[in-house]
Amino acid sequence: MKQISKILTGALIAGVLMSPAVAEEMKRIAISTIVEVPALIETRDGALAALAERGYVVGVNLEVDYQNANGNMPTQQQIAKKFVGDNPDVIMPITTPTSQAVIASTDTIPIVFATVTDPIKAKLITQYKQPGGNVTGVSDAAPIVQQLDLMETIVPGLKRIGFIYNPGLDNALATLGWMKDLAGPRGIEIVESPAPTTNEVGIATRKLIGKVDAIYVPNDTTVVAALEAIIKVGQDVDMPIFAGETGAVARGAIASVGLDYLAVGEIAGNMIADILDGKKPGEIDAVIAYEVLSKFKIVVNKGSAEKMGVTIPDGLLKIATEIIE
Amino acid sequence: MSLYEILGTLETGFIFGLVALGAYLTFRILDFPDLTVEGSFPLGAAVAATLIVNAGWNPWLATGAAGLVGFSAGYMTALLNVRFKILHILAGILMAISLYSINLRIMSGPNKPLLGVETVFSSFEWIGVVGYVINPIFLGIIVLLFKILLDLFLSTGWGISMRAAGSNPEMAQANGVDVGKMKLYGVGIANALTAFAGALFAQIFGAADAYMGIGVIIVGLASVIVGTSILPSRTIWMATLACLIGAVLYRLSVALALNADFLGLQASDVQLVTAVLVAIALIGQQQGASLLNIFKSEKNK
Repeated sequence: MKQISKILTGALIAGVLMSPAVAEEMKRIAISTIVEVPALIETRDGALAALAERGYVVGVNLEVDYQNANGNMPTQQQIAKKFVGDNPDVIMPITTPTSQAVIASTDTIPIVFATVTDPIKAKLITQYKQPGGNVTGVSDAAPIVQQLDLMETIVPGLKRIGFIYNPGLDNALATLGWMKDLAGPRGIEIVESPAPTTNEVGIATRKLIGKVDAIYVPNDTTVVAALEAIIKVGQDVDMPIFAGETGAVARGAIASVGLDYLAVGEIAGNMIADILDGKKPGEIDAVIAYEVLSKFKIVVNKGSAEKMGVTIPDGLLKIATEIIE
Repeated sequence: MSLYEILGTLETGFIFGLVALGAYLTFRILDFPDLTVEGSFPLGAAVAATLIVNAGWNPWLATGAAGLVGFSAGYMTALLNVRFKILHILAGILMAISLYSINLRIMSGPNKPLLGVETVFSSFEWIGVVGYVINPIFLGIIVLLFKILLDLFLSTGWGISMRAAGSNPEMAQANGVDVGKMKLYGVGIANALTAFAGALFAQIFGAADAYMGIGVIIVGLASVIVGTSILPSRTIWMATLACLIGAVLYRLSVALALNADFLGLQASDVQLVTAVLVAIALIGQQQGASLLNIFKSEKNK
């Protein structure tokens, strides 16, 4: 079940036309995600783009087996077994449970994980530097420092931030922890409001009204699914709503600094290329994406800011990567 | 499909055989549609993982403890139904959603890794046979053992009372069977099996996860229906065997779907392909039988 996008098919045809008559040695990689959501697909596409840049072009000298578990862990387990049985050159698991299932199934095939928030807590690696063994990869921990800077720029005198999250999601919990650690020294208090399912997001939002100066929506699939409900409350009571996911800005959040998931994927893609070139995965440092990326996506929504009673400073508009009117 | 993948499919199939036995006990024997399993499967995983990682328990003991905790979850569901007259389906739903929160408490988070720790599967390393060969053999033995134990239990006085309580509660009650008590223990046993399966699955998967239970009820039910349709049987002994075969067949369908890329299918089509394969298996079985009948009647003419 290889999902080859149209662009890649184009590259394939071009590659076939240009490739010399002698067939090159085919490298094989296997990629799996637990579900198909934009960030995870971009991670994959970014990796394939980086691989192409390094001379590993899908269909020419690179074969990709892409599988998605449709949210089902037993299926994820079977995908891990299939990959290990097929014995590819590198396996790239995207998300935490996917990585755990693959790592539990092999200690010999090189693994490059991607879009895992906290790989040390998930026991994927024991350290970032020279992780050893057959595993390395890239964490997509949210760029919280940049996020707090952005919120303070837009909401002067920011003292309390409401945080809506699903307590069942590891990445939301991790973000909450970091945000508390980083906001404390700035004199900002984080007010938690849990919403275990999408249906409870509206109530969780209303609970925060009057208690906070702004609301932050982390990269939490449960809460982001009900973003419009939060936005509506924000507009009704002039409460600035910020989001961890840049895609949420087009849907009505005021602003966000986010990781460019294509860039996260590119980091992983370069690691895969290093391994295909002959490097050992254990000798490649695992990284946190926001520490190595210099450019972030800054997206602002002028219309939303107005509806929520704040103005975006001109200085910020100048450096924004994308402005929605 | 590689040998490694086939053995991996058997592993998962055998683990879900335990879930299927539980589903058979509730849905078929007790006539109690129990939805608790969506919560008790990850409950077993959470209990075993936390006991192994945080409390340093022996993995065998931890897995056994997971089964006991699963029993109490099922017992609670039946108690809501028997004692407080809450509709059985709703009782199961209530228990399953509360278990979601409870599992987060147990693991103090949604995910508990089991990588690099002692598990029941690492106890076989001394034999010197690689894990991917020994694990399915071990799980096969475990699931057969539980099947036989369940068969034996259902032929005892207690077991027969339980079957009577399910098939004709009024009659059973009139004959002195405590129908409520039968439900309490029956649903308890079914969830003990499910939690035990969850504990084993987490150890082979490399982590316990709050979202591990998604779809468990569907897989359990599909296994029972597929198994008992393909292998129709009058005896308990054959019916439980059919459940195990159904569980393995379901997993084989998923494996086939994962390998169906030559048909131009996408990764996201796995669920659809699995459903179609299961349907084909059922239709094929019916059609096969009717074809046989046509053939017979032709001969009689």
